[in-house]
Amino acid sequence: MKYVIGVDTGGTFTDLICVDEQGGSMIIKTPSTPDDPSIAVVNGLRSLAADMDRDLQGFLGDVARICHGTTVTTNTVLTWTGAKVGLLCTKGFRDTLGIRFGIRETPYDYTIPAPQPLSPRYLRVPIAERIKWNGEIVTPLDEEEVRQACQYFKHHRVDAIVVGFIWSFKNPIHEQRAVAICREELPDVYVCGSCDVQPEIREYWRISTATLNAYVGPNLARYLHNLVQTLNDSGFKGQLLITQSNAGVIFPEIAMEQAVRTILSGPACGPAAAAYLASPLRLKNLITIDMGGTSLDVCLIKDGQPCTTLETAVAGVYHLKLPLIDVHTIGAGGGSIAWLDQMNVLHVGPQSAGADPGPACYGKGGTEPTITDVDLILGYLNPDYFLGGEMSVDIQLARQAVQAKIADALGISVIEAAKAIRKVVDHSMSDAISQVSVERGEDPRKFTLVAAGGAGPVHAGSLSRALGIENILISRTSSIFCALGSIIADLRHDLVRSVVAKTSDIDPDALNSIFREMRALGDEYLDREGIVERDRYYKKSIDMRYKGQFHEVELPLSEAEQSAEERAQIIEDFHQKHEELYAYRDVVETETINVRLAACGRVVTPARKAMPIGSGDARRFIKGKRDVYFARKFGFVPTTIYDGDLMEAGDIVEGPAIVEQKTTTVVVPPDTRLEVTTYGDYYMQSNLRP
Amino acid sequence: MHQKNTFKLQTDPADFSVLVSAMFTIAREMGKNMERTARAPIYYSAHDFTTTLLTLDCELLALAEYIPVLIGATPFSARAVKEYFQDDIHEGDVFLVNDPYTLDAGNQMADWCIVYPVFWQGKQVLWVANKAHQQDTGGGVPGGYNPGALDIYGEGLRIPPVKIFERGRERKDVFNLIMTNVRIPDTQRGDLLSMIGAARVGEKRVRVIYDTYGEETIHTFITDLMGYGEFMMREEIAKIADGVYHSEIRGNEASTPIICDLTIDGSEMTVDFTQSGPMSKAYINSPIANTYSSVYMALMTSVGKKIAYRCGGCYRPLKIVTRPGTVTHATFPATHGNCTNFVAKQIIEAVWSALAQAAPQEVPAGWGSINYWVFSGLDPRRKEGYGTPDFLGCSSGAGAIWGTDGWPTNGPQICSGTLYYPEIEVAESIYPIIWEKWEWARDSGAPGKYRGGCGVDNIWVADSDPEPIHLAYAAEPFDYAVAPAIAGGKLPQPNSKKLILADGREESPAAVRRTMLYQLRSGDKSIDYVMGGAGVGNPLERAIEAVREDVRDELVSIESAQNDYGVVIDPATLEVDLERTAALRRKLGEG
Repeated sequence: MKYVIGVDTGGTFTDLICVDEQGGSMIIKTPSTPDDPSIAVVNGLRSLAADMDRDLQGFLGDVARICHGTTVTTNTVLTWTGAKVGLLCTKGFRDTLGIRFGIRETPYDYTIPAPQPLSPRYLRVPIAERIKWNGEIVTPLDEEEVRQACQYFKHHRVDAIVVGFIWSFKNPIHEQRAVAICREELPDVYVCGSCDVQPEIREYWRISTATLNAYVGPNLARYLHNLVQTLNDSGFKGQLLITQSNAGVIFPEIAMEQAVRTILSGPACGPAAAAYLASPLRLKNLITIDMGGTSLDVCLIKDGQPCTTLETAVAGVYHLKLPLIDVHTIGAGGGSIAWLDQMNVLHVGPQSAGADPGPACYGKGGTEPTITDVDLILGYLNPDYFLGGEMSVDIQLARQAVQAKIADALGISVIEAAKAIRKVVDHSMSDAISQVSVERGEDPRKFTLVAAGGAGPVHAGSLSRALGIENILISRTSSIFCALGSIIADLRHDLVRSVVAKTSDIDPDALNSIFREMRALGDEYLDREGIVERDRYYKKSIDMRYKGQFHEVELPLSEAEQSAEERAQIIEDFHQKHEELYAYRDVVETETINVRLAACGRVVTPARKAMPIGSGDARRFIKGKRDVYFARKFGFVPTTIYDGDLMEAGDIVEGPAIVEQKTTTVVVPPDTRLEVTTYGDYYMQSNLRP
Repeated sequence: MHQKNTFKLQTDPADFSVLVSAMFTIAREMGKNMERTARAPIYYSAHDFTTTLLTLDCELLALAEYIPVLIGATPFSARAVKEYFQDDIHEGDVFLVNDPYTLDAGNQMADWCIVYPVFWQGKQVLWVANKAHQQDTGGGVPGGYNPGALDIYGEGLRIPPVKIFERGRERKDVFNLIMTNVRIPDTQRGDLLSMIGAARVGEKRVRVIYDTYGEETIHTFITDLMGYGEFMMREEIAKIADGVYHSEIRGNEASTPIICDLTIDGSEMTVDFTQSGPMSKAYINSPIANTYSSVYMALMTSVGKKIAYRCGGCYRPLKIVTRPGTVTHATFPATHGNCTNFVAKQIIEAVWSALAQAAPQEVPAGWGSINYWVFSGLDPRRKEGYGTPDFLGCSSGAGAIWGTDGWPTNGPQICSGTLYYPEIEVAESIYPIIWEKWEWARDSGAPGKYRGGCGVDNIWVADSDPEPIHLAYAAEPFDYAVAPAIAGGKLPQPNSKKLILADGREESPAAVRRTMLYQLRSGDKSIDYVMGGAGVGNPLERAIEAVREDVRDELVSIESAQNDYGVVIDPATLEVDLERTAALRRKLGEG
């Protein structure tokens, strides 16, 4: 028997899913160990082995692949524990990183200090060199200055060096030479050039991305070296793969060089899991919501493809340009705190009670009312079956918190206050969903909502009503979504070249040769990963805009060679896409800024195991009844509670109802029917027509 | 005499939270839409625009975080449209306006405002007003900044309230008349479509909210939101001691002073500019919409900085008094083209200066003035025209505030850090210029316990042969003082600007200021120093470690550390001599 394992390190828990060749799966959740996250990984593996009555050594010998999503790089930035980074920059432009295009995130409140660049000014060393817009050398590289800078860096004991020169993407000769000198002078230091990560026009984005890479690189390298060592020592003979923020995986050796590609990889694999789960139902247009303890991650999936974006800011201020799964995150989770401002306006989040003290009902000293408390008061959650009864919660404490902090001040009852809080959080959630759909020109009513995370299925029913969404899919493994997403992810290497020309002026043959060049580079990576020819595939895309615009629209291209006819089609596609996104099309010429190629390697996706077919009547799994609140229209309704862990394929539940599972609770509103699918997931359909 | 400030929401608490978030989301979405579809550099890159939702009474309901100094001016544009068209406002109409002297409609002529009535069930319920700085607005020179204009006609095309769409149909003749009077009609047409596209998106979203909540609930909500803003602002004003606070911003002998008398009376504030000097011959006179908008910004960045919803209710406790014919209340046909950059800044800093006397820990110190050319010409590489301010010369430093150093390269002050500077690779793609230097200048941030933010050295060389680069000196001609420096903080070194021509001739800052217009050829070099911001608090009290880090980072010189901060640092080791520092700080403190 061979196994594939997905491991996702989260803030509170490390999730593992282990799938065998027949599609049988096992799930483990183990507390994370932030000081050394690999301890939790090994603990989880040990638990899996123990559940199979095997020793770790023997079990790991049978594991073909471990796919690992890590938060090491994200946490490195959030906690300011990254490398001491030296930056070699073009003389005259020492402060690119500090200027950050001059923007201030809080234009009315000057009491917030400016963000500190990840490479401090005294470690940003100007070097005499200059390339012009057309790639011509204006000032040759002063190699002696580079060597002196290396000595200076040595003196200051930097851990990593970035070389980020102006126009280096156009002519990388200086940057590459400086990188080589640094490696020669300081062989033990992590070195990268701005073009090694993302060779695109616009130096701030390029250098900022490379600096993030250098800042997190040494930490990730240390972690992965250690993890690989530990796994090998424990008998693992398969391949470790690391997830990226584009939802693809890469080999650990490449992840160490391109560490920045793992930043924000945390939520990136969830949407892929949703697409995978929905595919047997032939559902291709999905909106995923993953609601955990502190935040809500939302993503739109169209035609089976999660939406991507090219730009983001890590920790809100460190800019990053790379293809990423476009996961929109807001501070609305089970632990989010409800509060009143001085005018008694009700707010929810972004502050969270976290795991400690946690919601008031945990009885660990929390006095602030949270969403979990409210869900308990309104009857959605079962005080006697919290985490399958493993944890006891006190509904009285929840009521007290809502009373003291909200209800009394507003002069309303606890129940009314709880309803108000619920309404506000549901609005924030539907607002987040609108942002990923409506603001992209997509009508959410045409999508199926896929709800995950501990709290997602509790809110999905009421949320979807507000948005007019009729269909909801909830995975039985919804609490370990990202781990699941990682084991179905293909290997993926994103490459880019800047073109910057009128689209009509671009010679298709020149474009083809750029794609060939990128493909050769992609093949080098895939060679290193041992991917054979027939398992390789490539995705091409192009970033276009109207002449003079500043922001581009990314359009997919076919795999075929480019031709003049193809070009005309792309231009028409661009007009259409622009109108769809921004409500107008123009008659002016289009420009092409970048072309992109993703070189991918297929992995073997584990099979899924079908559930035993039930009788269709779920009444045999009724475990009780309680009053649950369902929107103003219905009020509190006596509601039947089902034991989800026992339900079988084809079983049907009519709302109002609640299906309780050990790790999650599914709320089935009135006018809604829930059916257990072949693979044991829950599919809910509402009749929203009046 | 002072009534107790009380207020209670009438809207259901959950509905209030949902509606306020929904309205601000709409403004933000309109902004994102404009940002991503704009075509003129000043608009897409500089983000020189704003999006707002207004009540039927043209009070500010919701806004997005773009250029703050434009925000208070959109109600003026909508009011002018409303007054001019009265009952001739229909579903599908789109209005355009820019003229500051017709019904006080505009703040500055290059800032065109799309005014869009939002209808629901056949009835107007709100306004959308989106304002964006245009690449050109006709007139005597490209780009809308004409230092040589004699009157407003030389500055550009005056657009009183006009309908550019009537009941959903484009009025081609009106559009054509306007586009015939600007220099780069293609781009500008695209920009107008982008503004209208955003307003349409806003309308669509507003209708959904009305469908969900109905008119009555939303009406109550609007009353509540305005009341909320008013209450919050009154709470903040009431914390300041009652009194009259006087401030003056003066420049060189040719300048006209901005004089402010600010009265705090309980929870009310009066800002009186009637004593300001007469209108200037230079193009800096401030039309009334610009003055109001500037005062609003001064208020929201100081006493109102922590208020979550910066709606029009916040302006209610504020009274502004001006006298027609003064520099702070320009009248027809006075020139005004640069009033958003200069005089707006001085109005804001006059208000800060007055407030700082009563609440020094709540008010920002003055920002560095910007120092830029407007360049234009034909790019020989692309055979295409360009015409734009040099945004890299706008990168002055911010003033500090009690507890926080000023942000570096954050100007212009009126944008408050919402302006995006182009990166060098972007600038060199658009202009036939090669930059030599654009980085923080040492000692540019003025000393203080909390240091002012740094400005830059901005040096570039023309590379445009065979075409010339036309330069117009658009920077402030009066050397208005930066103000305030608060609680012992210092003021920054002033701007300077010079040229070194390819043949070796040098144009001194004084010569540049006199000549103002140049034609450059390849090899001619422009050398600008853009100043930093003012400091707050006594520099001798600045943390020694902060001074050491500034010296290590080469942001503060060893001399300034010693003379201004009283910190003695060894130039070889960059170590602080604590003993000598203590003695020096004592001595400087006594002197």
